[in-house]
Amino acid sequence: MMEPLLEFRDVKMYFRARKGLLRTTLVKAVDGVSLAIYRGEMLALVGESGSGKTTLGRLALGLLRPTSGTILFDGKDISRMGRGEHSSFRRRCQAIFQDPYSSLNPFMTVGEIVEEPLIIHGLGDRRRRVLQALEDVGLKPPEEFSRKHVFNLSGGQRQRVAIARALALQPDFIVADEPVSMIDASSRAEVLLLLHRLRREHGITLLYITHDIATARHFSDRIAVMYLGRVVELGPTESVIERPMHPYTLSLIAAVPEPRPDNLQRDLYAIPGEPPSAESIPPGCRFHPRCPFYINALCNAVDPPLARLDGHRQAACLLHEGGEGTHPKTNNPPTTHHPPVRRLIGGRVLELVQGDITELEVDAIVNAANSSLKMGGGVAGAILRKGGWKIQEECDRIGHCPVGGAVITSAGRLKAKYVIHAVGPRLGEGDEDEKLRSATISSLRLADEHGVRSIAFPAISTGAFGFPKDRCARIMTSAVAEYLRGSTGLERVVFCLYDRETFEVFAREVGRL
Amino acid sequence: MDGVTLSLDRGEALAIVGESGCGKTSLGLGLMRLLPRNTALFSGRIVLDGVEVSKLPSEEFRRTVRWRKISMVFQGSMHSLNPVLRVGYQVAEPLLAGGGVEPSEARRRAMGVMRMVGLPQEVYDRYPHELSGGMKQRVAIAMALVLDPLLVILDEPTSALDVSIQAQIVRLLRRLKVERGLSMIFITHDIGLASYLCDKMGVMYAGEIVELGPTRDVLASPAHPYTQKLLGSAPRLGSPLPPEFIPGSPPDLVHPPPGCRFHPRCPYTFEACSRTSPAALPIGPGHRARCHLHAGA
Repeated sequence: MMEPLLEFRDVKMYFRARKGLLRTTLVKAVDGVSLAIYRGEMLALVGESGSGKTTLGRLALGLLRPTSGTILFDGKDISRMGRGEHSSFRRRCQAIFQDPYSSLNPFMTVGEIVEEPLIIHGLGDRRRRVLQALEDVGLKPPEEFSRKHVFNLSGGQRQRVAIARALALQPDFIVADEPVSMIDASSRAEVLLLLHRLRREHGITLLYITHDIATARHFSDRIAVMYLGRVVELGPTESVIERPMHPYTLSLIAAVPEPRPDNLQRDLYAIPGEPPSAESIPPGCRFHPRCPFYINALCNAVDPPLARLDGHRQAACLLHEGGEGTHPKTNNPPTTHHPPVRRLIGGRVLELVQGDITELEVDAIVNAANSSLKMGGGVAGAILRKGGWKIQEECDRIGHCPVGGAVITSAGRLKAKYVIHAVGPRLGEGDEDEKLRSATISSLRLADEHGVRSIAFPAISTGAFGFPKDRCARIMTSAVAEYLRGSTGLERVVFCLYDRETFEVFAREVGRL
Repeated sequence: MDGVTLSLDRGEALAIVGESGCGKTSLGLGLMRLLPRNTALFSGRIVLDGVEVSKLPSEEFRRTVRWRKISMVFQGSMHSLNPVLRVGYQVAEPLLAGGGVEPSEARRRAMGVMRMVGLPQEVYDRYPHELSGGMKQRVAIAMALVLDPLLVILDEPTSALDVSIQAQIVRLLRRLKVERGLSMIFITHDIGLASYLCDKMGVMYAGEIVELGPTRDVLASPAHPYTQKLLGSAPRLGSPLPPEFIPGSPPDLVHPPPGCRFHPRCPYTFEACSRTSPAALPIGPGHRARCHLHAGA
């Protein structure tokens, strides 16, 4: 399966949406996807609503013409095919849609539904092909089923009719867009097992589009995870599920409610916030506003490319240093660097700088971890990267750390020696101010215990969850000042703020100390 | 729905799980006395907080029980918000309509409930089309809670939502259960989701509760073959085994099969199964199953 049957090369699909009378906005449904689907494989395209997975499926079928980029089918650009080529492409690529209650014509018999595409493509021997297709999808006896109308059939049976309709044309490639989300849980496995079997017996390549990562685990060879128009993780299914490398994949997995007897005692992880809109894509990494590993001044500044991490695995995440082309470089550095602000407090330096926290020469940097990371031991899976961070361990440890506490880990390849994960509060948890204060103090105390002389903080609680900047600045600066006035081995505490606005808010607070 | 016996304590959540068409929704509607007019026979007793509410005249039930003591989040209720009214008003409406509450007080209370379900204050004055699916579902939950009922029936409250939002809603319901001592009946086809919220689980098949017990016991040692099959059909991330499916389809409830209703699809059928309908047999403490396999135990 080394040869691609279908290949997306930097494909973008933008739609213009009307907003009001005159204004239009650009919806970037697919925003730069490069992806190959190999002959004979079943690739699962996983994502939430609005991720662009359906648009990508429609592009694969040639139903949409991309805004830019090329889509190759069997080596040929599908938007430049001649008439004959295009007609053959249409036969070779088939679709199965989500809702078998609306995608099958209620006035036609099952036999007519399956026969229709054969008429359109001018294929002979139709009767035999129809019966064969019905038999292949397990609608037996086929003669009897071909005379039925779809309203006599269950959801699972209807979806099998839709599969037979696709199969009758002997396609090479099938796009199945959420083929089981509308049918009963007890028959989902039946339909998916059927697709799996047909792929093997007929050598069909399958693109399985789904929001359900649990079914993808059992019915695909590779998984591509989409978020806001991009593929953020790609790899062999087994390995992606067991060792997700992108925090979004990790979060999706953690949010799957597995039936277990002791679930009442467990916490179900919920990705915070709403799935965002493709009309307003966040700057930097597009997942950063919901990411439990979000690092201020890095993730909101750098847009990570999908990079090869090892062998078959690819992820678009800045936590993974190394890999080709992944060294995080600030691609839109702050244009108006504010000069640093320094103050002496209790004989120690409190400093404000604007820039990238990972570039600072300090012993320890603080990562603004969040209570949303509390996914409990074991559930989280692992993001592990040679030379990078041992996210699995962090995740477990942070998961057991109360909000307002902090955890220390080695800094891997970063310039600093340690990373201290301050578990800050989320807005709406109650007692946020006290928890933010205590997370700040806990970080400083941990630093002291490890002989750290200099430490850099981002704003712990502003970016990700809408904690107001001024509140955050007030609480953190006063907590640090209070700590520096006591007995400590710390010589230098840096607040590292990426954008000028946050910098100025902090500068105002430091001025008041 | 046929011969259903259930009980639920204050602050307890009961899951009703099963395939579509098994009567889960009818159970909820029956408790709310909202069954369609063609309901041929409704018999039995429904006792709420010591009062036999099934005996109340329908007008009194409407005035004193429905929405005040028992409320419901209907399947797809997030799609049935009135598009031309501000959502806050829709949440406050039950207070204004029958509660005899002053408009300013109604607004204050509706805002309180909306805050409780995690909606920011500005949502009060928004219209439904301005909200995301998850927010609309929270509005539907707020509407059910505004009269401070004892019991809320939730019919597939997460079925149209993304996994991330689904998890948020379940976390919210868990919090309401613990903090407010709210009793809940959670109707779903998703056993996994139910197991994060519910203390008890009732498995429905063809209008009957075929197994009922503490969620922990039902999941750890499912006694009814249908429960076993249903659990086996859920795809699991943590298991390398692919899910299985249940062959055949649920029976036609106009002519249910004789004997045990599951016997045509059951792998363990023996002769008694097609002859007599099994009684609910004890399996463990508070755990019963309607299956002849447990007759000798």
